[in-house]
Order: sequence, then C-alpha cells, then structure tokens
Amino acid sequence: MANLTISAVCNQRCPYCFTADHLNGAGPSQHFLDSGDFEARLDFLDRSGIDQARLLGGEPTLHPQFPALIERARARNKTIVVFTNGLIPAASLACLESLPATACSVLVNVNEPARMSRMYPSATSGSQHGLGGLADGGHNADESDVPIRYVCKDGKAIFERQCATIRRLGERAMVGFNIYQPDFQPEFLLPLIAETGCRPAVRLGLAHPCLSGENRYVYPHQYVAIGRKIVRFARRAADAGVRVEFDCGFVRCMFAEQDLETLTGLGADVGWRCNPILDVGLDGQVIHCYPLSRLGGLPLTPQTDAPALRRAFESRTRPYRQTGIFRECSTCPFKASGVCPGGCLAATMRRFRHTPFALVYDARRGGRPASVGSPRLKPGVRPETGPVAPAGRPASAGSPRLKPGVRPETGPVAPAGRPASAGSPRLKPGVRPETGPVAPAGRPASAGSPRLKPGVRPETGPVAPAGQPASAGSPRLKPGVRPETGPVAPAGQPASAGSPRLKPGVRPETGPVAPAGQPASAGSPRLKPGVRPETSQEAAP
Amino acid sequence: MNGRGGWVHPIYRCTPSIVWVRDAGQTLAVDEETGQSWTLRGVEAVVWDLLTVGYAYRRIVTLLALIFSLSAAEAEQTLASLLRRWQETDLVRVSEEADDGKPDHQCSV
Repeated sequence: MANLTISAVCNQRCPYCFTADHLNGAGPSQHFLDSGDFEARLDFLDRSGIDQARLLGGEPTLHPQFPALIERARARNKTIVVFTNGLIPAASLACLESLPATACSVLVNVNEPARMSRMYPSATSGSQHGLGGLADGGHNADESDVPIRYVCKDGKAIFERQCATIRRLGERAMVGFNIYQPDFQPEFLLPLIAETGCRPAVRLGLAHPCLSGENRYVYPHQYVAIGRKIVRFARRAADAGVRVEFDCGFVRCMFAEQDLETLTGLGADVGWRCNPILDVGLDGQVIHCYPLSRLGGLPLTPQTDAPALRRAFESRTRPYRQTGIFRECSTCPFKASGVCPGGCLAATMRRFRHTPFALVYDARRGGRPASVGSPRLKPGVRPETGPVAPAGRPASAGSPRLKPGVRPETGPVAPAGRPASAGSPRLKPGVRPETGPVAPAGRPASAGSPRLKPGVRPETGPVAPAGQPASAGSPRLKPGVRPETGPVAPAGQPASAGSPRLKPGVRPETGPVAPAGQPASAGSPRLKPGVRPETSQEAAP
Repeated sequence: MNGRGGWVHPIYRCTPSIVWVRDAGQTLAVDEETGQSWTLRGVEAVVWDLLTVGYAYRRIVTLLALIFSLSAAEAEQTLASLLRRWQETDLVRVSEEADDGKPDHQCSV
C-alpha cells in the first residue's frame, strides 16, 4: 500500500488535518503533480506489486488533469482509491462516476454539519496549503481550473454538497469520519448513508497529531471515553445495517473487554495498526505517513520499491516503537506480543522530550564525582572536598581506588592521631564525619558487611578508633559508631545515647546489613541477612 | 582552579540528540541521530529524572540517599558510576568550563 499525493491544494480547512506539517511547512513549491511524474509514481507501484492507485492531497480531485491521471492509472489496471472531502469539481466527479464500482473506491470524509461553521470562522483569512491571497467567493471548485476558492462559511451548504457527491457516486463511495474531539456526534452519518445509497460502512479515524502538534487531535487520555462512544455508535450503526471500520492508530485498551466482544459481534472491523503507509509527495520524497512527515523522507528513485522503503522506515522508527502513546504501553503484554502497536507513532513520538540539562559540579563547594577524569588533581592536593592519602604513602588496602596523594571520591581521612590538613577543616583525626564508620580497628568486619575492612571504610572514610572519643567538632560521632548512615555499634554493645536509632549489630537506615545468619531488626524490615536490598542498578542495554 | 585563578567546573550535558520519554517504571532514551536507545530503570531512571528537572549534583546525591536508603557515599558513588557509564555510552557528555570567579547561574551544587 502506498498513497500518491497529487495535489497540495485543498478547498477545506479541517482543523485536524494531519497534512499541515507536510503541505504548510516545508511543503512543495508546486501545487499539483506533473503528469510525467505521475507516470513515475505508477512505475513505482508496478515495481512494488501494488495494484491500487491511492490518490490523496490536499484535495486530489482538484488536480486540473484529474480525469487524465485516472485514465493513466486505469490503463495499468490499477484500482482507484480516492481520499476526498466530497467537494469535487464536476469534471473529476464525472470521471469517478464513469468508473465501475469494482474499480473505484472513494472515501468521502465528512464532518459534523453543526460544527462546520465553527471550523471555518473566517473564510477570507489566511492561506491554506500554499495558496495564499485567494478571495472568498464561496465554494466554486466546480471549475476544474485553479485557483481554488476557499469554502464558504455555511456548513450546511458544504454538507449538502457532500451528500450530493456521495449520492452520485453511490456504491463507489464510502463515508469517513474523523474524531478530533471527545464529544463527537457521528449519528448523523447513519441517515446520510441510508439516504445516499453509498456503501453501508463508516470508516472511523482518530485525529492524530503531526509531529509539530499544529493540528487538532484527540489526546490519549481521551481515548477511553471515545471508545465508549464508538461502541454506542457501533450498536446503532449495526441496527441500521452499517458496518464500522477503523483507521490506523486505535489502541486496544481504549475499549473494555466486554466492548471489544460487542464490536466483534457487531461485525466491526476492529484493528490496531500503525505501519509505514508510504505517502509519496509531490517532490518525489516518500514519507512514513503525513503525521510523521517531519521525520524526513526517502527519495523515490527508479530502483526503490515499497517493501524496501517500508523496511527503511521501520528501521528508522524502531527505537520509538519500544513504547506507545501511554506510559503503560512499554510493559503491556498486548504490545509486547504485537497485538497492539501502542497507538499512533506520531502521538508516541510527541511524548518524547528533548530536555537539555547541564549538571554543573561547583568545585568551590565540595564533593566531586569520581566519574570524571580529574587531570587537574595533583599528588598531595585535594582541591575539592577531602583529604588525601599522605604523599609518598600508599593508600590503604581497603581503599583500592585511592592513590597516594589523590582522593578520588570523597576521601579518606587524616591518619589517626594526626591533625587533618588545613584544607579539610571538617576532618578530625581518625574521624569520618559525614558518611560512616567502619568496623572497629583491630576487629574483622562482619560477614554481612564484606566491604568493611578493619579500621577502614573503603568508600568515604574511617572513623574514630574504638575507645577513643571523637573530636568536639563531630559531636554526633561516637567511637566505633556511625550515627547517620554508616555501620553500627558493635554487636553486643549498646548504641550510644546520641544515636537512639542504632541497635547493636543493626544499621537501620542506609548502611551495611545485618550479619549473615542473623535476622535484621524489626525496625529495618527491608534488611536481609548479608544483603543490601535497594542499591542494585540495571545496566543500560 | 584554572591558571587565571578561576574555578574549573566539569559540566555534564545531555547529548543534544537525545530524546527521552518516561514510562511506567522505566525511561526510554533515544539518540535521534544514531537510533541507539537506552532503557533506564530503577535508580538510573530516577537519576535521569533528577537531572532533567535541573537538580544540582549534591541535591541528587542527597535524594538518591533518601530514596534508595543509601549512605551519602554510596549515593555519590552510584551517581558517579552512572554518569561515567552514560558518558561512555554518550548519553551525556562532559565539558569543563571556567567561571573565573563569576557567579554561576546554572544549577550547581
């Protein structure tokens, strides 16, 4: 399947139209496809084994040579599919009327008549799809020559004209209806279908966003409410002998399970699709689909065919297809199994954010991440936060990352019994003031705390030696006790009064774990013997 | 400090071509140029969120410690490890800028 854009011009101004990015933005300079280029498009269809010529725009029937294009496509035995708003010039309509119903399908998209006048608040303002400065003279697209005038403001007149078109096309025509707001009222379609004699079916479409978001569309959080209305409408349609079909971008979860059964029982064509449609633009660029036109296109060359292009777009969009329009899509079993694609990819991609951030580490205030290469660090100098191993001495075995004279993360401490350097005013001899004590010097660390080494706290620093008072500058620290985040008071000994939360052998908040084979305290329900439960992280794929 | 007496700051920046989406329980980041993607879960997703809302290094460390019941050192090590890994995989890039003593108006520690 591939759609051929033959017109960049439209005589309607539907607010939900998803061609805005393609035809209004970096749109083609030409308004209509050249006849010669149309032959190249047909060659592409032949190469790709596609037997349908699906024509769209803009409004494709406004192409001045529309009958000639149809004739060329029919000469290659193509079935004609036209996507139109029903405001078709006489010559084009006559051409379509002349085709057998088996060779022609015209999808006429109609909007609610009551809302049409609101959709065109000012028929004289602005330009549309590259045609600017055209005065409002009412709808005069009966003339096959351009320029095309904008539609009139009278929604009722538009609707009557659409009805007349559908009536003339008869069974070649099928009605399409785009849902672009949650309070849609599609019931008017049923008498329209009954009165005009078109195919007894309605093709429902959800208005999807362009990547720019400049068109009107329904938001995913509105889908469930929309789904309920669709089911109600499908019941009425079934009563009227009308079948409901679904365009792309619907999702399974917008319907309750019971409603899905109802839809299936009513014969509705329930489907969840989002694939590269392949829209071939006037400029010879093939795009994934109109809503995703900003993704960029691939050139249509004499060698390219639809399957290759489709593969290329699938490859390009695969990373984004890991998720969907909802936060839950990435973990949804229906999406994982391929039943549901997770909705319209354009809506999905609109969820992605581009948030440049700059995490500045301020060297003046302390704390330096170890991840950064620190070429500026010199032996014996710790410019940011902590002390270093004394120059000329090896760092302790318990601190394998420490290099002599270098403090890579937060730092060891000054050797016990020696004053800390002037550059580390917080450090006291043998005291690690911030993050935590170690196993008491001279004692083995517990089996449940394999990282702890006697007298050494490998990550952030040692503590005051057991039995020695901590300095006055660290009032919270007690000998052998790390009151806030670190290890615990030695088993069998009471915790200090200054650390009321600490229990013997238990580190209640962040630090090591209960010794293996011993139950964690009731106050630390998450702690498991020998296990520190919450810090694991998953490697990025 | 740099040669002119100003401080030199390492700055972690999100790679410009990275877009990301927060899903239930995970964050998906995609490099729009290369098509490479990363699924961040757990602490990775949390850190990414904190980075994208503009928190400073120290605050992220503090929050990690609170959220995951880590010691400050463990939180800092976790953050540093993540940043290093993301730097290696080009999720973030590191530059160093000197402010020469001028006030820093970006999110800093």
